[in-house]
Amino acid sequence: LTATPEVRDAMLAAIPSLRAFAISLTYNVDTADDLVQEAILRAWANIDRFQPGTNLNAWLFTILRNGFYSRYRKARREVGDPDGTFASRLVTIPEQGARCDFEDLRTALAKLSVEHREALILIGAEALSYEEAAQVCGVAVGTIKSRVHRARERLGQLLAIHGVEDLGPDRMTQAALQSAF
Amino acid sequence: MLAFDDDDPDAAIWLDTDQPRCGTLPHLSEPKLAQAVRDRIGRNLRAMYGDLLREPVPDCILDQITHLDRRGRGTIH
Repeated sequence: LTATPEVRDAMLAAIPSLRAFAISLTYNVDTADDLVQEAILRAWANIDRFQPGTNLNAWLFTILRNGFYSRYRKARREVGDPDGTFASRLVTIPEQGARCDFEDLRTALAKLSVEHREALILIGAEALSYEEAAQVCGVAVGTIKSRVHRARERLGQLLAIHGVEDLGPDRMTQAALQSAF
Repeated sequence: MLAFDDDDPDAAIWLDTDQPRCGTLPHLSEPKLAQAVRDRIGRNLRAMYGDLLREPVPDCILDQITHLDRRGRGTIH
């Protein structure tokens, strides 16, 4: 089996997203790369099932997610970042003194259920439509909406953000302030 | 720390307590985060995820695709 050059190129272009999604699921870069490679193999072997014109990323996410759950569903497994591998790979400097900075967000994300986290990532970070995310996760659209809602609420609780008064200045504000003085 | 709720992935769908119940829509009646808070969380989430997207793809993954592509075209066996 072979993919057309267009599909191959689209698959190559999708890899960063696929890796980011896998890391978000596993919080382990090596495991994430294994999942990505497995997903590529499966996608290549089943390329005739891909419908041109549909969202290739969503199709690949579905394959990767199935691999993730196949790998881990037998055991109650904890997913964490005990050695800080995930955190250390993120290079953005956190906001100083502000709630909801990146470090807090990473920690809070890790405390969400994997179902809530994947919904939030697919909608909030990958910008999939609710319909596409529902297809990826194999649930109803309403379930995805509910999970995103609950994930946001839970993040707010974990970050101890109840209202705008709990927010520190974000980076844009900080940059503006720093450039003003 | 995370733990899966159930050993059976199908059960996770059917027993999902996230499912809105007919006529109640509990998720809509709960207190909501302020829009500014949601915006900030969303912005930081996208920025954090953007860092991951910008990471270079490992060679092993690129090599895998090259290998699959060549094999499919019959240039290697």
